[in-house]
Amino acid sequence: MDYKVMNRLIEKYFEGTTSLEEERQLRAYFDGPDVDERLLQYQPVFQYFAEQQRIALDKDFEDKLLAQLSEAPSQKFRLRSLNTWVVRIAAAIVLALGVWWLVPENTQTTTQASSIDWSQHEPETPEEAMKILRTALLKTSKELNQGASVAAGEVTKISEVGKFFK
Amino acid sequence: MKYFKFLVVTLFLGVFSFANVQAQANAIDKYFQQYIDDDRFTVVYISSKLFELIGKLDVDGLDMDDKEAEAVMEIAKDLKGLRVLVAEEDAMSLYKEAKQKIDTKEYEILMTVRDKDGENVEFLVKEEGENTINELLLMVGGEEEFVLLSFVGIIDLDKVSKLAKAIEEAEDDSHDNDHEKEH
Repeated sequence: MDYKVMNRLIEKYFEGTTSLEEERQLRAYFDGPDVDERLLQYQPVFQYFAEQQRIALDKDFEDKLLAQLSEAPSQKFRLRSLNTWVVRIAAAIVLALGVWWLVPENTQTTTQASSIDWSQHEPETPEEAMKILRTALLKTSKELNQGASVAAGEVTKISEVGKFFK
Repeated sequence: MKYFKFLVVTLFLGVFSFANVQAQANAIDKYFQQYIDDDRFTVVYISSKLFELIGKLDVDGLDMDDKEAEAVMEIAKDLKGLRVLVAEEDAMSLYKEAKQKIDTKEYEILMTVRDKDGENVEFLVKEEGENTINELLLMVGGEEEFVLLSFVGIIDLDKVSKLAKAIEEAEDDSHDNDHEKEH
């Protein structure tokens, strides 16, 4: 096959208009020993196609595949059971961590709470404390009564108002 | 597997009981910490130790009506702590802020009052079991002052409500005396 014919075929090939037969010819030509120097640049392309076509399955491929398939289920099962265990442990850890993260809202406040030095705000004498307590209770009591009288119209039945609101 | 479930459940119970113990912290420690160091606030704390001492006070030696003192002591004996926070500025904004902070899952609103003077009052309680109030939280937001009162201990609202009457009666007497002196 001379250069001109092949060159025309290559052009056709890259235009995408070659027939299957012509493509076979191209592969055969480049696979052969007498490739024109001017066409050497195209050789790897067609050689690659030719090589790829030669790749075939081993004779014992099917046996191997079947052997693997028959092995697979048991292997898969083992792998899976291992995975679920890992998942369980991971889930437990995540759960524990999750709770740990949820709780800090409380823990934080208590740890902070313990850091509050309430003692410096304490009255110095019980008498003073008594006065403050009296004032605080009076305030509470008044507000309670006012609220209760508005809500229930009965000042003395405050505990029943409490029940009502439950 | 069973062991594992058991482990998880125990873990949960452990954490929750832990959380419960911590939930005993009072509302002020919990929500109003930053106010304690705030210069705008007057802070007072009466500890359980002081409540004990109050209980031992001689009623006659006090500068108040005997009945009144007894009524106060009657309530005081079940109290474990009283925390007072008072601010005399920004009362309304502080009140609004405070209202938002309280977790209503933990605290139940006993009553909310707004009177015509624009004073807002909210009573919140934390209960344990039936009818036992563990903490009473009073928030007052008026034009002039913002008050936060937290009583921790067993609180009998009935006693508290009766106290005002006892004190007012006593006060009325003394006021009358004052007026008489003035005129």
